[in-house]
Amino acid sequence: MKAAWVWLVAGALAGCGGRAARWVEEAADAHAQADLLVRRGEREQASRVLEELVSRPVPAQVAAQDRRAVLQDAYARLAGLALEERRPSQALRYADAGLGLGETRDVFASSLRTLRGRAHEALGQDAEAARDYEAAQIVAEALLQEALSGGGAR
Amino acid sequence: MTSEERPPTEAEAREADLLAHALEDPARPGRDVAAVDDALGTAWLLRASKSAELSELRARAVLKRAWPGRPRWLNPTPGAMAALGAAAAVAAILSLLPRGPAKLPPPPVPLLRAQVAAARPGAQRALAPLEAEMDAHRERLYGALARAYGTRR
Repeated sequence: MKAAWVWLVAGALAGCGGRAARWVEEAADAHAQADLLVRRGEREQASRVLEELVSRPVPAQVAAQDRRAVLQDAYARLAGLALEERRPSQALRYADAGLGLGETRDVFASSLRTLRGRAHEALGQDAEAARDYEAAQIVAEALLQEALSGGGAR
Repeated sequence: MTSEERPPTEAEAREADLLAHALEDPARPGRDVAAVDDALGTAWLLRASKSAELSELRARAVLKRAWPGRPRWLNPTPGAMAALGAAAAVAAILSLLPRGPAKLPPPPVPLLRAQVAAARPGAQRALAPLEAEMDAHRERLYGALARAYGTRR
């Protein structure tokens, strides 16, 4: 009976993160595919791959912070690709979608602020751009100070 | 006309009748079945082979003999079955609950410097180093997530 319990518990633990693990794998694969497409100059295709990633349902087992990190990173990349394609309005939408997931003091929010600032700037919205750059600077400088003094977690 | 097609003789009919009665009512005392002894034995053997099923006790004995070291947990009691069911339900519920966050890698100094440099008006060229640093950080990010969520990589 003891062996049955050991197997049951091991199986349950192994099965707990199944869907979450698959989601993480698929997200990493999407970025690898996007890398390849960008190297080939196929930015539009790369954007489609990343759009598919952000529109995929996220398993409930994924912790909220990890979910936000993965999605904000993907949105930042989408915004960057849209800016390279000279589509600042689209870049703005991606940056807004990313920041809409919540803003904490980390590199993902800082990147999104920078990219949104760049999109505003391209659209001639200088005041909004300045606000985003300032917010990005505050976060990045605080994180830099922490990193230089040996701290920092995210 | 062959011997099989010929009608039975009186003696044969008597023996058949005797055999039928002996099979229907074997316990009747005083009956002389010596004449049909061989036929009766064959009939009993046939009947026994038709009803030759293993009783539960006999099945257990056969199983015990065939697999003497069979572990006890392969004969689960109702209590054990209920416990297994409860454990399966708990496992199913656990699998739906969100986990604690992964320990993500801290952003390295070059990435943060690139972010500070890029967050300025007109710094178009500063985006390329930021992207390169973010690509490297992404590798570390997914490495940490893979460790936390147990991917097969």
